[in-house]
This record gives sequence, structure tokens and C-alpha cells, in this order.
Amino acid sequence: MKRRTFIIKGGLGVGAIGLGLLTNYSCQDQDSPMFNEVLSKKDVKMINEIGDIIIPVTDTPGAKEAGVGEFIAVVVQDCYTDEEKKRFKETLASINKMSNQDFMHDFIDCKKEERIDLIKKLDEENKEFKSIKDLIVSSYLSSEIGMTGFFRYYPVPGKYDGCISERPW
Amino acid sequence: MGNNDKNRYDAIVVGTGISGGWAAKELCEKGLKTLVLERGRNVEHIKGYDDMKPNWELPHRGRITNEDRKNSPIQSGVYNYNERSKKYFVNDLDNPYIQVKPFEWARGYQVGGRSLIWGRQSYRRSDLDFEANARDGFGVDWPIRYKDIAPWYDYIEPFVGISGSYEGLPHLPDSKFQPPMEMNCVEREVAQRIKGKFADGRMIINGRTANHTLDMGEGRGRCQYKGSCGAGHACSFGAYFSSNSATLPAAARTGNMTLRPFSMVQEVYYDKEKKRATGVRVVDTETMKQYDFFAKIIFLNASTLNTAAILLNSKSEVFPNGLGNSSGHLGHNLMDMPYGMGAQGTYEGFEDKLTFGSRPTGIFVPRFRNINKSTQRKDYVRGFTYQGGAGRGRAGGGPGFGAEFKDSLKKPADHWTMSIAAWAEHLPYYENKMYLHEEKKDKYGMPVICVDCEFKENEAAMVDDMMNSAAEILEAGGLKNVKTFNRNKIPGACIHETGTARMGNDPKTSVLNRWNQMHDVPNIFITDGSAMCSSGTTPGPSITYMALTARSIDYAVKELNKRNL
Repeated sequence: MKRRTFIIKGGLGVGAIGLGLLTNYSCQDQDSPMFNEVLSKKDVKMINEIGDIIIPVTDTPGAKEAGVGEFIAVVVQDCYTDEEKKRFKETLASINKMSNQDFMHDFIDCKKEERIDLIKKLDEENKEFKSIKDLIVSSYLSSEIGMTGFFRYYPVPGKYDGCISERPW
Repeated sequence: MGNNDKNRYDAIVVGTGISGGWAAKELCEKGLKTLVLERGRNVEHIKGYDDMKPNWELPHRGRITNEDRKNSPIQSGVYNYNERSKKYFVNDLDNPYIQVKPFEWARGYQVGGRSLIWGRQSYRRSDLDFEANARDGFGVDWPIRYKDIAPWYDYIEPFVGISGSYEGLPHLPDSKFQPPMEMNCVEREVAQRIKGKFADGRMIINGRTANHTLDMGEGRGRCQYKGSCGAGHACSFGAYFSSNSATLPAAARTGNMTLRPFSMVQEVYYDKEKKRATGVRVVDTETMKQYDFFAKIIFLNASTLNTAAILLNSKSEVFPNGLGNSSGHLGHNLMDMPYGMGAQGTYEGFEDKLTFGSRPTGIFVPRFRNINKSTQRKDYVRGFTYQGGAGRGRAGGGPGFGAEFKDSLKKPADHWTMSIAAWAEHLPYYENKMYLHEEKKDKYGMPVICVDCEFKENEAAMVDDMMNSAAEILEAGGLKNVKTFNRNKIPGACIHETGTARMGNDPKTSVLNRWNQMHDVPNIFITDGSAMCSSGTTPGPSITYMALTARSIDYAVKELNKRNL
């Protein structure tokens, strides 16, 4: 059902690039309200779930708890060029496509083992996935949880030591 | 347009950046009732600084948005423009200029100007610089020598608060220093290893920076190594020199300063009978209303391009081509500095060591080309210096995911890396210039500035040497995998634009005399970057503007008291 919608809308979009861009992606979002102008709530959830596999909860909180999905949605909307937005959404779509091929459902409907299986494959094979992974990592590390929970936080170091043995983060 | 007493002052200062702040301080401390005009909004020291706000509280955690790029296509490309610092950069759409040739013009229109966002590196010029034009014939001879300005460096530096190391080099005179910020272990090792290795005397010394290592009082503290000034964030500790932290509060304490923000000077009035400037025409940038202010002396410190623009826009019967422009040199001889050619490498060793704190400076390589007969080059005149440093960050995530991957994010990089990059001299060429567009005006009614400036043969001839010599230094220092780079910066990108109203002995070829006083109009003084006869080889021209300002005011006030002005 979803795939058919994709093809029809995609086909219509060929003649008009701008329209095509919008309609191409509406397919995967049609069941989910939008989080912002670019990503749906489902997209945000998906990024958080991918984040949870890449940076899971250990003795410190993971990427999902740090809200990487919500932050990334803001960055993609406000900072990405149209071309980068398009590529970002295509990568999410391609992950779902792979998920549907392998497990007959979208990424967020996957069981944990299936998700790990997919991320392993993406991490090894998919070049575009690296940009999402890097974004998840930097979003985690720049979050309050990342800066104060995962790393040690020194807002006012008070000194410079150019030769210490202990890790400063 | 009233000519009443409340619009009358002893002195007017146009601009509140590095040199305008000094002009305000010196004039006020000498007892002159001084009107200080700034086209932008007020920024008071510490009030409204947001350097202590955690990064995660910024909506984009520092990133530049599409809206920023749209509103400020030029400023958003400046190295320290980001989500937090952008309030100190102009909206380019509201402040257009025309790039006849590519020219990146970084601007900060607020009280404090670009002193809030400057690079803070501070190096005295030497006679190698002041004699350069006379020696090789490019530009006009500087009307001063090191001995003329040295006492004024001595005078301003303790107030500026510069950290650095005493080296005793004739071509890089020492400032009055606060203790230097230490080198890290790799920098120390590399500095040690290259000692004596080069016949031309290449050496690595501590960077010299207007970041304080001593408490200075009056809201000016020691550096806390939080790294915010390097990212263009004003410092709540007042730990680097800015007009806002230092000179303007000093001027205000005298009770003699009237600071008027939102005041864009568009024209200087000239009285042809008295042969003196009488005052300035100001457009209030909030209300668009015009005001006139009058004074006995006027200091123009609006920045290199804007100072020249104000004068070019001040046309009269006597000066149809711009006030004080009988030489025809106003707006010409524009220079910046080519920079960003260098090398980087990795260091094998100190794998158990890291650094703590964010140091707002690095290491410095003084000039070693064309400093004497034995270092003379056949392919170019003048020279360059390097800034750089070593560091060791995190490894960053490799392949994989999950708990192990997460843990790996804490790993330090395998090796330290070190890089150095050149800052080079830009020769004064008459044809490198700015001028006013004949029709186009900005929203305040000021003619739009056109910039026509390029690097030429001499600058190009240095490029390979700047890259290769950097590689030689790093290799001699023991670095591996040394690679050269060229960041291909366009003119303006160094933010060292200078020369549009240069000093000189001959009124036919220069705009200012040896006291930064206009040859044509003796009660106008210009002590910002426009006064420079040569760009110099070292970065950090700002302390030279500061020293020239204090020197010029000492002269101007003496002349006033002798009733010569």
C-alpha cells in the first residue's frame, strides 16, 4: 500500500522538481503527523531508535534519552540545504526499504535483534548511513547528557595544562 | 540641524572599536569633553554576554542556520561566526557593499566593534616594517620609525594586558608582557628540536595575545581557559582586551564621555575660511533622523573602509573628491594579509599525555625571510610569520556501534598533531582601492562602498615558500606524515584591512602626516587601520593602531593647548 503510493506520487513529481521533492517523502509520513516542516514524528522516533542502537544505555544514558532525534530534526530543518534535506530523507527511506526487504516492516517496527542486524549491515555497506551516524554521535556528545553525563564537564577550566596524564573529558 | 551648545564638544570620536576605544579613553582622561559616536547598538561589558550559557541550550548548539546564510552571506563565512557570536556581526543585506573583486569584509557594528570578536594576537612592528617601503620602493616611506612608536607601545601595553615571552629579537620587539601561556609538551619538544637547525634562525616562541594571565581589576580578570573568545564570544571574566572591557569603561569613569550609539556618521563638515573641520553629520540608525555635532578636533576610527568612505562622502567646493583628498590617495593602497598556507603533521610520542583547558593562543614563528643579507630572497620582497600549535583531541567514532563503540568515543586520538599556518605581507598598490558607488545607497542613505582589491605577483611568489618552509619546520621538529596546505583565502578574509588613508611625509602621496593628522585638514586625525603605510609581516596589527592613537592624541592635545588647532 505504502509502496504503491510512493510510486504514484513519485511519478507525478518527475515533472516538477520542487513538487516532486515534497511528494516523494509524503508517502512515508502519511501515517504520522509532522514534527516540523521537514521530518515527521515517526522520522524523529526512527532516528532516536537508530541512536539507541549506536549509542545505547550503559552506565550512562544513551542517545534516545539525549533526544538526538528531536535535535537532528531541528538541524535538518534549519541548517541543511535543500539538497542535504533531500539526501537525509532518502537515507531514512532507504533504511526503511532495506528493513522492509529483510523483515517486511519499517525500522521502528523491527525487533531489537532485527535493528541490530540492519545497523550492522548499514554500518558496513552504506556510505550515506555514515553521515546519519556521525550526526547522531555529534548530537549525543553536544547534548546536556553527553556533555555532563557521558563526558566530564568543565565549563570554567580555570587553567591550561599542556601535559596531563588524566583524560580531560 | 541646530548648531546649539548641547551639540558642541571638545572632541568627537567616530567609532568604538579597538582604536576608537583608545581615542575615547585618552581624550577623556586628558580632560576633553568627548562625544563618542557608534553606528550600532550599545553593548555594555558583561551585561548580556552569554559565554556562560551551556552550548546545549542554544537551539542549534552553535550551528549556522540557513537564515543566517541568507541574511549574512559574507559574515557567516567568517571563521568565528556561529550561533552565539552572530549577534556581533552585521546583517549583510542591511549593510551591502560591492565586491569588484572578491573581498570578504567582516564587520561588527555595535559598541566595541570588532574588538569583541578579534583574534587578540598582538605583535609590535619593528624597523624591519617601518623601513620596508623605503628599502624596496613599494608604497611610501613610513614617516615614523620604531623609536617614535616604541614609547607608545610601552604606554598602551600594560593597560591592554598582553601575555607573551621575552625573546630579545630586533625584528620582533618584545612587548611589556604578562606571563606567557605555556606551550604544551609537543610544542615544547618541537621548539627544542628545531633550535639551531636552520641557518636562517627559524624558531618557535609563545604566541603573544591580549588575553590576560594576571588579574587587571575593574572587571578584567585572568583567563579561565574556557575557549569562548576564540569562538567570538565576549568574555564574562573580562579576560581579553576589548573596548567594552577596558577603554570605554576607563573613558566613562572620567565623566567626560558622551557615548551615542545608533549614530552613523556620514559626513564631516569643513569650513573653508577657517580651513578646519567643524563637525559631523549623523544619521540616527534607529529613527533615521539627522543630527549635527561639532567639536574642535575629530578622530576618525570607523575602520579602514568606513573611515575612508566618510571622507569620500564629505565633498565640498574645496574638496570635490572627498575631504582631505588633495593627494587622490584616499581609499587607495588598500591592503589585507594573505594567510592560511602551511603544513601539518603527526607526532609519535607523548601518547600518555593530553591537554586540559582551552588555551586562547598558540605558538609563533617570527619572520626569517628577508631580515638581513643572508636571508634575502630573489623571488619576493618582505616575508611572513607562522601561527600554530599542537593538540590532541578525541579519536572520534570508528566503525561499529553499541556499548563498545560508545566507550570508544572517549578514546584520545592515536597521536598528537601539529600545524602551522602563515600570515604574510600584502604590498601597498595604488590600484587596490575602495570607492563609493555613484548611485547606489544603503538604507541609511550612505553611498555603497565598492572594493577592488587583489593579491598580486609578490604575494603569489611567497605561497610555495610559505607551505614548504612550514613543512621543513615540522619535519625538523620530528613530526611525521607532514602535509602542506593552502586555504586559498581571498583578500579581506584576514580581517587586517589597512591603508586607505595612509601616513607619509609628502602630502602629494599620502593623506596623514607623522602624527596621524590630515595633511589637508589639521584638526582631523585618523588612527585606525587606514593610517598604515604597509601591512607588516606579523599578524596582530591592532596594538599598532592603539599605540598610534595614544601618540596622536598626545600630540593633538598639545597642539590644542598651544592653540594651533
